[in-house]
Amino acid sequence: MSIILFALMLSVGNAGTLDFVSDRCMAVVTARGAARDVGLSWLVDSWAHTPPEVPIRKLVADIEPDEVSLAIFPSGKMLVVLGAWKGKPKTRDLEALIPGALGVVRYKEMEITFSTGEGAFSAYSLCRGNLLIGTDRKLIEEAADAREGRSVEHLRSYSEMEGNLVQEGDIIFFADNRNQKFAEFLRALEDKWKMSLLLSADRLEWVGACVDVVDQDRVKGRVVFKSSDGRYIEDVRDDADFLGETFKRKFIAEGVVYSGHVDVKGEVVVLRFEAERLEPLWRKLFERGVLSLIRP
Amino acid sequence: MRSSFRFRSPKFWIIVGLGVLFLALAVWLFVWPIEHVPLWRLVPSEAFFMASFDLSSQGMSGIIGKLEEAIVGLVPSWKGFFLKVSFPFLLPNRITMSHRPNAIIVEMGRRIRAVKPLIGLSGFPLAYRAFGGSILLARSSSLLEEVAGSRGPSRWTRMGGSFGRLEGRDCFFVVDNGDGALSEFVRSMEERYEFAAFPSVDAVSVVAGYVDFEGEDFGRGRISFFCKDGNSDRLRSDVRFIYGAIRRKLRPYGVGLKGRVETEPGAVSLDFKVEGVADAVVRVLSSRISSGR
Repeated sequence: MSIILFALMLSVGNAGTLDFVSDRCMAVVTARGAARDVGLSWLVDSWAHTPPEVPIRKLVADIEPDEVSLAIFPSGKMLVVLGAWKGKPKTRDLEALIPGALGVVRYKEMEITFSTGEGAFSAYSLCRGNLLIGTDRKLIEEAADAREGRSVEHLRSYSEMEGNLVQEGDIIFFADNRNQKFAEFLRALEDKWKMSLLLSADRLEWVGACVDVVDQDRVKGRVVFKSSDGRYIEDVRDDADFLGETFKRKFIAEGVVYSGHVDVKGEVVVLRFEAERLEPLWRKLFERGVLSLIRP
Repeated sequence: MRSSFRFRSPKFWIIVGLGVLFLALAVWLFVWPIEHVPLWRLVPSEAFFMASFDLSSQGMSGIIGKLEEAIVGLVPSWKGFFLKVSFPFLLPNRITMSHRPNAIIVEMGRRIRAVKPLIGLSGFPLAYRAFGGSILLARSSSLLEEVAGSRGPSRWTRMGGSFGRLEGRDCFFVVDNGDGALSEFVRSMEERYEFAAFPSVDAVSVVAGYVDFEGEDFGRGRISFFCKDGNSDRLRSDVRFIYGAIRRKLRPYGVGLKGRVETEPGAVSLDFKVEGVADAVVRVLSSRISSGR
């Protein structure tokens, strides 16, 4: 009985990491079960302990959060929310995240510590059992606003995406293409790499994905593309086919066993995939830096 | 008596001599036949890739016109005017390029007689040699000697027998994988990028393709991948992927590509339509020229 009461208290007091992610974000990826799930905990733990030791990795290794959200905004700025941790973050580890002269401001219920230095992050705040780390102070203030019913979870498209994923996943990805936010982000990558990633980006309403990290060697999941109009479904399918083929060819080169299949249901295109013998590829990815792949 | 004196004056004979010389020069430059050396004979036999552009074709005129405009626009004042006036004279009939070894074959017909001394005077950085109405340009003069000394059928003269009809197209290319040079090249790229883009390359004997342009913005063409063993299933999947990758690579340059992959006995082919090439070529070349200045 006391355990149930404690759990109820926690659910009232603590917020989920997604509560802090504003509906203005362009994309968000959320990992749940980072401390409990066999596969995901291995993944997060391996990333956190891969040298070189950087403040964010050290922090994750120390506090072992069970839930992590990473949101990317149209400007390319990022917000990381860590929640449901085993050990409380130490002040010196938090300050190491934002090098430079520190200042403190209050915004709504939050106390935000910020720095004037140059680094990947420049502000953090602890709020209701979550640690928010942002590229700048404004993002943390926006996170406080998001808690008042303006979080990404409140979007109709987010609920629609959850309904379409069907399968439970350890990692959920959502990209919002209202006002062409996601398409614009891809365009920036297109300019950088001189290659289009999704030809139908302008025709998408949203993109979702869920990945179940079964263990260090195996993942299965699906990527769902919602077309903004049924007339463009073949273009969206072509992109899903190409994405599947790209995965396959990358994996062949890395010795990974991959199988994938594309289906169309109404205005939704689903790419289902499964991959095995992934461990060496994970390690390579961690050493090179995961963020380098997604930042424009 | 008086008139015969004038007739024999040295001035008269100098003028006549110069006139005859000028006429002979004009005949030699513009009328006298020049040997036509088949394109295929000039491609270095060790090269595994060649691409050729017929700049005198009707289809290419739109692209050439835009290109001329852009190049002349980049060159200041009197130089630009000179370039504009001389552009039609300097424009080759055809340019062909080979890879490994790299060489350029510029076909100009009779105009080569006037252009060759100009190349000599300009301090051109590459080695060159004229073969009939064409000039072969390469980094080393040994390659030119090799081409000049080659007798009998070579890899490319044999290819010319099979793919000679492609010469009637606006642009075409041929890749020969008979000795595995393409396989080797693809494998080195795959290792470098850690990506299996073309795993069935060993099954390919030859890749040949062409594009014909209609107007300045629209073209159609075909690329055929010929199989060594007739088994085209794996190859089809690779060709589909390569088509998708090229489509996505061309998009940032404003080039639209739409195609269809088909399997025939012994080959997999991609039939395609392409749009926006002229503007893309002008944009890329202009930025190269501007950054090189």
